[in-house]
Amino acid sequence: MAVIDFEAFTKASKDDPEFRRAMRYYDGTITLRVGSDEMHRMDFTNGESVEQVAGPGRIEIEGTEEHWINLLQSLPKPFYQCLQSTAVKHGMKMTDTNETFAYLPALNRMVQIMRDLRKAG
Amino acid sequence: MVKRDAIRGGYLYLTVQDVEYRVYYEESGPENGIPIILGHTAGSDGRQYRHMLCDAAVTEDFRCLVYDLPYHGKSLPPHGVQWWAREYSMTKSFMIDFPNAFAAALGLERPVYMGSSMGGHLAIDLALHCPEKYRATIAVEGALRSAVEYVDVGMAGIRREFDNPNVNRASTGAAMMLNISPYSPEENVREITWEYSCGGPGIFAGDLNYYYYEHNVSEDEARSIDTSKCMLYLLTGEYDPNTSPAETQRVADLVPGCKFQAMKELGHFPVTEDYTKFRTYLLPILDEIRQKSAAN
Repeated sequence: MAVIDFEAFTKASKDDPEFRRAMRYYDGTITLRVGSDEMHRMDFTNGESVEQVAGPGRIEIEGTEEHWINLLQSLPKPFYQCLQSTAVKHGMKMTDTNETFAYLPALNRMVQIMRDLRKAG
Repeated sequence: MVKRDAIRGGYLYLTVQDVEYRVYYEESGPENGIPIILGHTAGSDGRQYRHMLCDAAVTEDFRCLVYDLPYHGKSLPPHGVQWWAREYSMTKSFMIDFPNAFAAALGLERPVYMGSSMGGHLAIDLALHCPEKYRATIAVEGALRSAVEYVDVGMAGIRREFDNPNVNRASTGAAMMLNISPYSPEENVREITWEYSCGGPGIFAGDLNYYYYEHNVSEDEARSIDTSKCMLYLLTGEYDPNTSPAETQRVADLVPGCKFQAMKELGHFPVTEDYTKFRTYLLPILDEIRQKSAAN
């Protein structure tokens, strides 16, 4: 069973005004990897989710199953409170591209949507 | 009836290290109360203390004064300096000289100093370097040095993330999520990210020069802090990855007579994250300071 319910996230994010606003103007991809077996990719053109994009933006986040499960708890343990703290303190990996910094508000919102979905079951 | 906060604001002119600054500060509490100077975190400003300045349990006996450091909040960059042509960088000597000049200008008699984050580190530096000027200091999220994982990033990496023309200020606000406890009420979390999104260009990154590099207290220096002259209190939130309770514990283990409490369910910005929780740790400290002040 996948750790991230990506289909539910994709649907929820399209209806989420904060996520949509935070993604404005983005041309590129967001790739999420969970361990070695689970991978998800989102494509955006001018901030809108599309089937496939040729834009240059690249945001990649990679963690073990344990990283993601701890991160996606509603009230996570210390230093799993967001992607960056999970990276610095627990070893999750994030790209350090300009886009990763610039779209951090969207990435934070992405995590919160995933937490809410997970809590809702 | 108009609803108001019990906060008064104003400007004073301070000359620090040969430069005159027009400094904004706010205060609350009685003029003859025990003065307590409040220092804000890197890249933010004195708005962080708005809940404390409206806490009658504090302001009954304490005169709370919170400044915006130059280049922060309503303290504009100085005239007479071509600040736009140079890279801003906060130093340890300026961090120490500034509250000393502020206290002297207002005639504050051996005030208490309390600060958070870089202001928390400063509480340790003040207790170490000028104990004769302060009756006590309270380090909120203070340590000998910030966490090594962040120190190792280096100033070039810090400026690339936080002073990067490709990245707007909203990202600095978003980056603060790493410091915040998931137990904090969302309104407060959003207020912190808002404040961090409001800073001047390069100021947060430049402040980190003091926070990560110039603040670096050796074990021998920590052992030499004389808490009989200037009592040192330490409060650290369990969700602070920059200065974890384990890092503050190292200070507590070295400084004879200091007092440390780890704060459950709070992060790097406890004063703003959840003041209601924070004050349960703060008020006993203020009570102790009040009793010692009355006895002297």
